[in-house]
Amino acid sequence: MASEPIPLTHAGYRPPPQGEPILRVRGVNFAFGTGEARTPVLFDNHLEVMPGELVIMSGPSGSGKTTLLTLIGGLRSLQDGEIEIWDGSIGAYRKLAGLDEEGLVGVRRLIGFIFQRHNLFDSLRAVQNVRLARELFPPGPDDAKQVEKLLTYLGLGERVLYKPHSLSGGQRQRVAVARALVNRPKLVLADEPTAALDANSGLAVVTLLQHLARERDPADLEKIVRRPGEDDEGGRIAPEQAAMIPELTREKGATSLIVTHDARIMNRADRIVHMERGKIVSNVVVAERLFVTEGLRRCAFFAAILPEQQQAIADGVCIGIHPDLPVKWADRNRYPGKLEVFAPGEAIIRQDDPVTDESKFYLIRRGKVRVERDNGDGHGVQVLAEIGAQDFFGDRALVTNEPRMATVTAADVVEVYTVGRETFRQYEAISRPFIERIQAVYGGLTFPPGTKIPGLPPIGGFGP
Amino acid sequence: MPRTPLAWYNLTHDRVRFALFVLGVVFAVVLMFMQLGFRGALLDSNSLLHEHVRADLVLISPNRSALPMREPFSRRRLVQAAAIPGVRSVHPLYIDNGAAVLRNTDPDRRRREASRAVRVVGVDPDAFLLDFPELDPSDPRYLGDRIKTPATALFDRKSHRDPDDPTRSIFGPLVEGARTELAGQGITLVGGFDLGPDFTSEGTLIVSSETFADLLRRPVTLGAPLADVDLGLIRLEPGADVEAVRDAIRREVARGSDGDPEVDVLTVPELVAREHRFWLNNTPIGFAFVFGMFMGFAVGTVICYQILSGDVSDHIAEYATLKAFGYTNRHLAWVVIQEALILAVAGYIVGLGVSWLAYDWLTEASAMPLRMTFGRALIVFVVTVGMCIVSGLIALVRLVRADPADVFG
Repeated sequence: MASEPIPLTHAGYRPPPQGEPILRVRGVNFAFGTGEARTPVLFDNHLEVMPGELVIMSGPSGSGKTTLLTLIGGLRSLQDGEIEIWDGSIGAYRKLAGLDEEGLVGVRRLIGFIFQRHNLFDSLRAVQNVRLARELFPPGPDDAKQVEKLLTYLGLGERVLYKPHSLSGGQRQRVAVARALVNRPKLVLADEPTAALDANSGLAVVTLLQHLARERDPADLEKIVRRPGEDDEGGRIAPEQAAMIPELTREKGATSLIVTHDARIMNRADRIVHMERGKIVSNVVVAERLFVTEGLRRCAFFAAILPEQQQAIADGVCIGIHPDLPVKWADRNRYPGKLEVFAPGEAIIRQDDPVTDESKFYLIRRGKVRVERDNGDGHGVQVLAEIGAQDFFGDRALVTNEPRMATVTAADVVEVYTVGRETFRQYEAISRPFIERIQAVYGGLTFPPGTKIPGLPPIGGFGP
Repeated sequence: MPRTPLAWYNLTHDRVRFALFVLGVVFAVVLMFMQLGFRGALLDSNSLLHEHVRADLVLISPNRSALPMREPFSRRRLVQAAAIPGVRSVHPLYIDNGAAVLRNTDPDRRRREASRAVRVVGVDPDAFLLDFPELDPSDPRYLGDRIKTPATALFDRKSHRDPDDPTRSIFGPLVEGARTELAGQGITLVGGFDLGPDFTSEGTLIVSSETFADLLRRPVTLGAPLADVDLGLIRLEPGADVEAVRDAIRREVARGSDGDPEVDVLTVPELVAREHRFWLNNTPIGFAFVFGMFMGFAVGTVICYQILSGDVSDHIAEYATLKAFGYTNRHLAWVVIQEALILAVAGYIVGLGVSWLAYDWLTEASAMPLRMTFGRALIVFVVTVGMCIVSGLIALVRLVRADPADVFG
């Protein structure tokens, strides 16, 4: 994700302030029914979604995904908690708690809805069904062309004048997608938008959502374009479709929340939110998870454990914010046990500090640190290195239980993921051969970066 | 990009269904037109003769709430009125309503039914007192001269039809030159005019005042058979102020010896209104046909509600989806109201055409004057629109309840 402001061309639209989400869900509880029939279905849900993210909501049936989506969309009144949606036309958040019907209608107009049951009017042609949504807003000079282009991109160029009964289920679903996107909403809520679509159409829809979200690498688009002679059903978009994307997605910043079980689009998510029994149990920014996992793998200790264990540790420290985005200083204490933020010059660990239950392993998320050691030889403090994002430190002392070998100081504002000593002990206990191997690697010694240990990746840290 | 006329498309995309919808409203419209038509015809038929009166003012006995009542007043009042400034001429009109019997003289003796009472009107044949071309001396069809001959009469060609033979009247053959008997005395029918039956008379004869006196008054009235008149027709000088003359007549002529008014002074429209008022207030006509019209409205409302409610139910998921997009209840309500208006207008146009044809046919078949007046057409249009809008508003309850959250999942 780019850390620069998202370019938006929509007249009068103001994006949220840098680092602020487009959607904020705080402490949302919800129950159906009243009195003895009251059935709670959502419990204390928190979520922040940044502009331009493609969010996949997963979870078993009945886990509350759809209910949460209807609350976010203003389709139901909030009972407890707060939901805030950024309204770029007024440059402020709209709070959904306590909104009356009129207020909820205002919120709905900020959103593009894609329903699993597309509910097109049988009496209207495909293009008219899309126009009906467009007519909610003042007309633009080339509305008719835009509607037709959108339908053409979605493979309905020759069927714009067809009525729903003459269209297949997939075609109707694509009309519903066009209807949801025609007003260029900055928040799209979708319920299984690709369920009725073949691989190519599903890919076209998700690619469109991705490109409406933010600038993408053209090479990534090139990879999914069908080549001459290639199988038509192979999950590719046509060259003509690819050619239309720049024009259709001139405005960026559209955030999509998609409830889906379609494995084909999971790997295109920026964030995966998993719900179980009415609660968000995991909220993973894919890029952050990748960042942390890659960072952990560079450390010999974590490289020695199974990939799913690496993943579990990474998920345990992820904070749900893309690593390109800084954590607000005010939120520096918001992620205990996961993330710490240090001011420039602040010492993170000190040489000769003993290892205690509070000692941690550190993976740098943002900023730079200075690694210094006083060898006691009268030459004063020696700067061993200056390291930055995805580098790590503090692993050796936790494995060897020896005092810290160096002092690590924040060179600028530094954000570090932390893994506690408890996690190290847990994996030591699991496998004796593992610990023997690790101790062979660390051996109570300091290794320069890049040291090769048989069967393990290079040691990246400085072992304090 | 023009707005999508959703209401029109929703109603018309299935042509057969739309035609059935419109037919439902047409049924209600025709029902209302018929009720109003019959009500009007029954009232109008009782004032047909009044409407043919050619006078600026009419003198009538205050006790004569309706023309069939035998409440004459003294001819002297008419003579006195002639002296009022602004009055150009006065003319008596004699009416015998039902006392005189016209004999059925059908040549086919088997078809001779019982003789029936007939209304007889005595006029001055030269004065063009009733607006029939046959009494207009300037009209080539003028027959007034013929009835100057004693024992002659003009017959109403629209007299009550014989139910067994609609080409004939129930009085037997009413044709020029026919000899028959009126009140037991022979008369000759010398021509016809077009009027029509009403509640109290199945046919009308027009005779000269002298024939009227000879046949109907002299046998029962000694002395001056024409001393009592039924209606006094007053014609004013050109430019005379009707109200001023009327006031003068009321002041100087209308009072009896006891000071009570002896005659009312009315214009022809007031005379017609008085007749209608009597029949509305003293018979069930008003209630019966207003109730009939209400039934038409109620039936139409139910039909229209069924149509609109069904349409809302059929599209409830689509409407809920539009709500989810940000359409307001008010906007969607307007769609339903538009559908109601489309049904109302389409149903009204077709219903008006059907009713017009039905009026013509019924008028022809029954001789009742079913008239498609602008006022009546406007009333039915307003009621039809109201009927459809009321139905639409009831159907809206369902629409308002449509929950946009239901379309998710």
